[in-house]
Amino acid sequence: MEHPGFWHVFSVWVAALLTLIAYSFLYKDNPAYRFVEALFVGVSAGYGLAIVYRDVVIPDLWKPIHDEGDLLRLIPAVIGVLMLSRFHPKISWLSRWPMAFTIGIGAGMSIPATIQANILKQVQGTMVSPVVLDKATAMENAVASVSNVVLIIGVLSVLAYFFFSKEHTGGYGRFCKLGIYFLMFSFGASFGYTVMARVSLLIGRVTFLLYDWLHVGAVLLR
Amino acid sequence: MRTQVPVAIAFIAGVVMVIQFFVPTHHSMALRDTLLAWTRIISAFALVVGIGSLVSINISKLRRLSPGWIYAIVTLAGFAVMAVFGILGTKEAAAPAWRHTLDRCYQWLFDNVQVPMDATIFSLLAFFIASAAYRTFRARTFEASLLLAAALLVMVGRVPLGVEIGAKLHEAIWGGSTTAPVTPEWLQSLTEWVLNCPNTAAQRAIMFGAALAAVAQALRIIVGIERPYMSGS
Repeated sequence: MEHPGFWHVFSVWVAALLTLIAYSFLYKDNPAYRFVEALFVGVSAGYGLAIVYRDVVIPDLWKPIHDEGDLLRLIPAVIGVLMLSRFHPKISWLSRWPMAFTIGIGAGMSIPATIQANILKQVQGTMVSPVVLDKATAMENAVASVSNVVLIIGVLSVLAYFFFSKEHTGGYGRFCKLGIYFLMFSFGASFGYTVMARVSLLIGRVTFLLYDWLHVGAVLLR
Repeated sequence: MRTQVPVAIAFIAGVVMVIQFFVPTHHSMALRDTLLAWTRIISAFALVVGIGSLVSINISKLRRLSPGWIYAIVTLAGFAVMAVFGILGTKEAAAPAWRHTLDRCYQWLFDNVQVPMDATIFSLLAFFIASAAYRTFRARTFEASLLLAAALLVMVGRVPLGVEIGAKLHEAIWGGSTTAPVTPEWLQSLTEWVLNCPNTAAQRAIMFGAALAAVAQALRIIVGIERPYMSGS
């Protein structure tokens, strides 16, 4: 059997110790956990800066100016530098210009994109036939029809629940109540998804500790 | 100057982007790409402001020797090492060897420090979510029962154990009969249906409301009724 090199073993030990120290928080807050937390904040900030430098500053600013002579790229650089005026209270109002530019671009872009993707496409997806007859079997037709009816009633009842200009009483109130049931079902599903995502991360870390660090995974599976 | 110019900038930038969408000519597309590149560059400086704030807070903590100052050193050291390795390191073949070494160090820190800590700290939430779920999911009302049922169905129906339970139940009830009304994978199918039908219906209605609000908010920003860029300066 080939033995792993020193750097591999060292890397696994570093990752394993950091993992165990982070999990020590489950017992109670302690200095070792705070050390890892502080290290995580610092390393993440450094990583963010490095990513912006590699993915934005070099390809969007440095290369166009240096390699292609596109001096127009100096304009956003100058506008961006104004952002740093926030550190000086006397001229901090200058930081409003780059902020206004970024927010204005975002707002302008989001209007047609939101209308197209989040309104028109979704309306199109809801305008389905409540009676489906084109499936292979009668059972499939029935399931597709029920699904479409549930979808239509669900969307309408939740929209009705969020419409507060009309009092939620009588038949309309009962329809709104149905909307609450749909919402609860959806929140439950979202919660289930979130739990699964976190648990899968936990499984990943436990797998790492058992297989890569302790090498006992294969023994446990026997 | 201090109030009118930002309002004018936001108005012009917003209107140009809206018009560009409805006039998709070669020139307007090129203008859009240029403006988006500009926005990326400006946003990069916003990150510098955020990191500047983080660094100044930690330095002032260190200067005053306030409680937990030792952790400020750890944060600043972690930041400095990762940033220097990431910025000076490169994979470019023409670069000197020391820059390749720095890039390998950067990659090592990412693989063995950043990724494990990121996954571990986020996986810690699994334990807190479990205790929150216990308090939330006590089925006192019909609504809470629905929440519980949907969450359990999604959690059980999408893991191998749940699929196995579904198959065993199918076998216990119908004994592997081919005339059974449902397949052994009925739990998976039910989970998929819950996610695609009632869940989609509620999410879609929420999305409508949020989208209309987002469009209204964007319009308010463009015409200057809402001025988020004025705060904090």
